[in-house]
Amino acid sequence: MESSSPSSLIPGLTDDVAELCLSRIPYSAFLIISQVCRRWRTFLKSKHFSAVRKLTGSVEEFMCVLMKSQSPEDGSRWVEYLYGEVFDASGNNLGQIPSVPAPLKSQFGVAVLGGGKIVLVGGYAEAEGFPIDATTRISASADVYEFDPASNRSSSISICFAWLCF
Amino acid sequence: MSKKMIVLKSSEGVSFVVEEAVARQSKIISFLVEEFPDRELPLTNMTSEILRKTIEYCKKHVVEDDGGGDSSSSSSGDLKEWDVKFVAEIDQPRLMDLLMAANYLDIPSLLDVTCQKVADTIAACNDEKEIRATFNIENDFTEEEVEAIRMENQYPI
Repeated sequence: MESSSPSSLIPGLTDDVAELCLSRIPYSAFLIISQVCRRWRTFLKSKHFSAVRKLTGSVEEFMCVLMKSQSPEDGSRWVEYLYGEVFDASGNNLGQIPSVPAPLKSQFGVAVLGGGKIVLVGGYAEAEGFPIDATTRISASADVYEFDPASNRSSSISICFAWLCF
Repeated sequence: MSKKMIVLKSSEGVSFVVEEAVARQSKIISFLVEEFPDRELPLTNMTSEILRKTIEYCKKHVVEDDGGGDSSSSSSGDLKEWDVKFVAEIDQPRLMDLLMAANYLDIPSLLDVTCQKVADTIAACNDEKEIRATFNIENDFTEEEVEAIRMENQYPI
């Protein structure tokens, strides 16, 4: 058979075929397969990978559980944070969703787009430099964050998560 | 009714005489026999061994219109079981060749089972080192990158 170059995804296979193989691997193994080599990591994080998964019918269903909570900071004030975990169809916990890469806003809106992306929109934040008391100043936020489990663009616990600010 | 036979030639020049219905499992061959009837088809990038395996698969999967033939009467469950056994018995390098053959000849169901076998093999590995060893993949991450990935996985953002 035709030989593949040394930089192929899987030696012995052409990349188009290797992509078909990688796209069939269950999500639960993504953490391991993203650590095999650079080419695999790049492919897994690409939009192309999501497209191939859709094409081969390998898309899996997940449940993302988001929870807003508070934790004390320096014992003096409480800081709100958003915590999330992802479960697959069998109930296996696949890991945590990375935090929003900015201070969490209050009263933000949450929506799921296209059955795949979770979007956080707006809310308000305490304006910097103003204490929380009767004269608290708040500012409305125009920030929108998108969490796309399928994009695999991330640097967090699971390679598959990314908060994109746009 | 006599069955129409066609000749497929491997890279070593070995000729395989197969029923046209069997060979037509391949979309490429299906096209070629229509364009070039009564010709033997050279498959210069397929070894005899892989061609034999491919024909074995196609024989099992051929849907015979004229009744007869016990292979075609297999239920889909039996066929699936047969497929699993078929790929399980093939070693890694040959599996790769068979996968490429399925891709080249355009035999969707064979491509499907061989891709799945590769995916299952990868998913069954315990860690990335085992995957690299199994598939002969070079670890091209630098020490720094390995450390960065390790930290990422340990501490979510």
